[in-house]
Amino acid sequence: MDPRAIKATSVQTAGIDANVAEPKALKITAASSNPKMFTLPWEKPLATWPDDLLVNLPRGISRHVVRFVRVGQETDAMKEITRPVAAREYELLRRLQKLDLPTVKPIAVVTGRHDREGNPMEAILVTEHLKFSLPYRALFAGNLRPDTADRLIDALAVLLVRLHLAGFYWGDVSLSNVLFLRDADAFSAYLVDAETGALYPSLTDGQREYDIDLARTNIIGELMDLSSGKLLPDEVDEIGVGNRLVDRYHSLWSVLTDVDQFDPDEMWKIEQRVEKLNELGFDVDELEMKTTDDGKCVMVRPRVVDAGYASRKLLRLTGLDVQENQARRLLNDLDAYRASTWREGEDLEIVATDWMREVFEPTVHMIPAEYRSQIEPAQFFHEVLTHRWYLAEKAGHDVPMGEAVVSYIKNVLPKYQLDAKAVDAINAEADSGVMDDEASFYDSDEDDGYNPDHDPDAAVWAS
Amino acid sequence: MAEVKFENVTRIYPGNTEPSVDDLNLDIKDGEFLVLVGPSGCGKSTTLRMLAGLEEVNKGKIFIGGKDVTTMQPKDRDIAMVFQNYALYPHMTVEDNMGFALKIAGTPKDQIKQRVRKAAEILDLTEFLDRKPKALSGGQRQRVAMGRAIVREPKVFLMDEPLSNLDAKLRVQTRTQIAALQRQLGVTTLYVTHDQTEALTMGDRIAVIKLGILQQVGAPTELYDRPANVFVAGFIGSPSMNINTHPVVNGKAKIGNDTIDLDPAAVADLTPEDKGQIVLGFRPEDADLADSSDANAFSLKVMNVEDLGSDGYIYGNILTDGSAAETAAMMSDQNKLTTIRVNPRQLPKVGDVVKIKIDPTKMHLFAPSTELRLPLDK
Repeated sequence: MDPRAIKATSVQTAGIDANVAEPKALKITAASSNPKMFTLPWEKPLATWPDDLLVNLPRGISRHVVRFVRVGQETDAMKEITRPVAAREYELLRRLQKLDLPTVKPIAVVTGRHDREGNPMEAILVTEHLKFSLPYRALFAGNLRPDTADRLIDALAVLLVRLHLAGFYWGDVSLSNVLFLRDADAFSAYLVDAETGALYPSLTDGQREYDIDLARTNIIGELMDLSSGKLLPDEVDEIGVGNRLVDRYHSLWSVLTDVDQFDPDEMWKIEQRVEKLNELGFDVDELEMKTTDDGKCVMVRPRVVDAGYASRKLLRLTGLDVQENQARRLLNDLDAYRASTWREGEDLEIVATDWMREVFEPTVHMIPAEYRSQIEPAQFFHEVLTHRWYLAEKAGHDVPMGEAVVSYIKNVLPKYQLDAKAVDAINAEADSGVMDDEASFYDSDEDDGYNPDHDPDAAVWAS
Repeated sequence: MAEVKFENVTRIYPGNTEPSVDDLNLDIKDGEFLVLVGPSGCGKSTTLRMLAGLEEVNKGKIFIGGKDVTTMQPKDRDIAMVFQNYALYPHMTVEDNMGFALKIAGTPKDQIKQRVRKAAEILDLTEFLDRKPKALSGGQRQRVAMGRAIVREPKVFLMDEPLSNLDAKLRVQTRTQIAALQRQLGVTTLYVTHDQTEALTMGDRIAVIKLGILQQVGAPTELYDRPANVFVAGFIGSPSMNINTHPVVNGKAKIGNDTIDLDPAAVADLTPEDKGQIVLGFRPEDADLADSSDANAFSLKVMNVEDLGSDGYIYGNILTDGSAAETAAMMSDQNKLTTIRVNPRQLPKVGDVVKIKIDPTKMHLFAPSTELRLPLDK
């Protein structure tokens, strides 16, 4: 095939070809096989699926109908969209997953749906629900720290930089198109909507700047909306937060990609640069070093592979797969454990095994059952550590871990409980942005002020 | 208000040897709705992205309103990539949803109000301005999203397959709306699609592009009635044109035992490279059943018929003498079966052999070697 056709973005080549006619019978293209998938009521519009199949989790704003559905042991996010768009997004998410980027995991594309009368229906894109994640609106619904908006923006800036480094142009950056995971005192952002995105060998400045500009506008809009709904603390300056994204992005991008110039006797500066990158969570794959023509200067450009320096280290040591800041906190605790047990000479791997058994696991086993789906074990551990520190400061002496856990569960953990009413309110808000649901497309309730004579849609249908 | 000009624009992706867009020269007039259409990988999206500033230009220049924007950042170009994915904010009124981006840009309040009112009028949303999205139908919500783009009053609208995420019913409707809206607003628009029906129904002019090379630019009827080459002939129109290559004998096309009269001017423009053959095309509606005695008609073996009530379609194989040259069919609908639109009351039976006569004024002739339309424009 012509390389230009492969690069084409309007119609995709792999897997489910948009040019091929809609399949006549239900077709599930899946990355993994879950037989329960076949038992779902695909012949019904997603908006009308029975409640007993659904999981009541907060959803973000979307133009399309989205639902969380229980499929066997798993919870999947389902989005009703046209077949070419579903196929394209599925393929793109798969490629992003292969690049180890923080995105939701694509599970399947369901095509060839027909209602009971045999009329064709839109396709459904199935992705795995990202456990413990929350849309930004849910984070603003609870008791939040005044700097929540800033912390979300920082996470989004990291995500955008990582995606751009990998050559992904998003085309629709917003808080709504991201899910957030608590990551120690920060957040990690995951991409959930790749509808307008495209993967290139590398991005042009124009593509990056467009994404940043769009992100700024969308973030400010999203915050203005929260503000209109009295959900944003008064002191938050929407435009300031939007600008923060632009600043954070640019400074991070420049740390990661700028070329440094050193004198040959300043090679220690290279080490400093690598350390700084590691601190930001990025691994350096190789350093590109060039001497200037006169031999007086060394030019260094790091080739950054990806974020996750600490989390990879923790994974190697303990098998725990957690967010970057959580990993840093856990590694610190592991170090403290090693020092307090006088085992500095021993292999870290062996100490880590004992730390897991003696410290980490007993603590996270104490998470009450009703919170197990709400808080990640590593986040729980981190927050207990923080809580313990506050308790100790107040008491003026060390507090045993067990005591800290009990106090934390009683006094802090309840803030994680997002009550059903709040979830319903968030989901009602999310649904009011849906534009392509046929069921809601024509609202002929005249009491609602709708008059078909005033609606150009009606004229089109009449002709 | 602005015209757009591509001047010898070339884009070669890193690692590719062939340009994805090759020496493109294209003018979009002020206020014009130009549709760029072509198959997958033809360079149409690349062209739009170069105009948007998302893609680098390797050679040539791009002008918007006479200003060279070739190296300008996207946000400085005063263009709007239209409603690809605009979200609606639940707590904001329709008015705020449409105007908030202007507020961010620091547009004075009264000006925002005025622009939003104007857009609402065009979109028939005036009475809903104080409502929240919840109280709107899906169609109205979609128009609010369009409003967000309109109030910016950009110099150029860019639309890259904007209908691809709508289902078939909404697509037809939104298509009509976008075209009507663009005419009302008079904003210069570049619209990219792979769907030739969208192109024919929406554009003031259509530019057909294939493998990075512009094939033809013209009004829909111009492309339909006088396609400049075999590719455009086959690409524009649905069902597509019947196109086959036949030997030329004594100035006539030889089809099996039959002959078809050809325009002598076209035959005169054939060259030795064409090896005594000609590409003959005709649209399904430009041929009809003929008497078995008709000298200027060819034979078709009926493989399938369709009765649509208002129209009938015959799908068949042209009867040839089996020579290789004759059977080299190039492009046609229905797995290369020849399609003829007839009066549904006269549909033959499957298996019949019928005579077909082409309207000589609607016949399209091309040189096999260059695939260009004959007779050549001189």
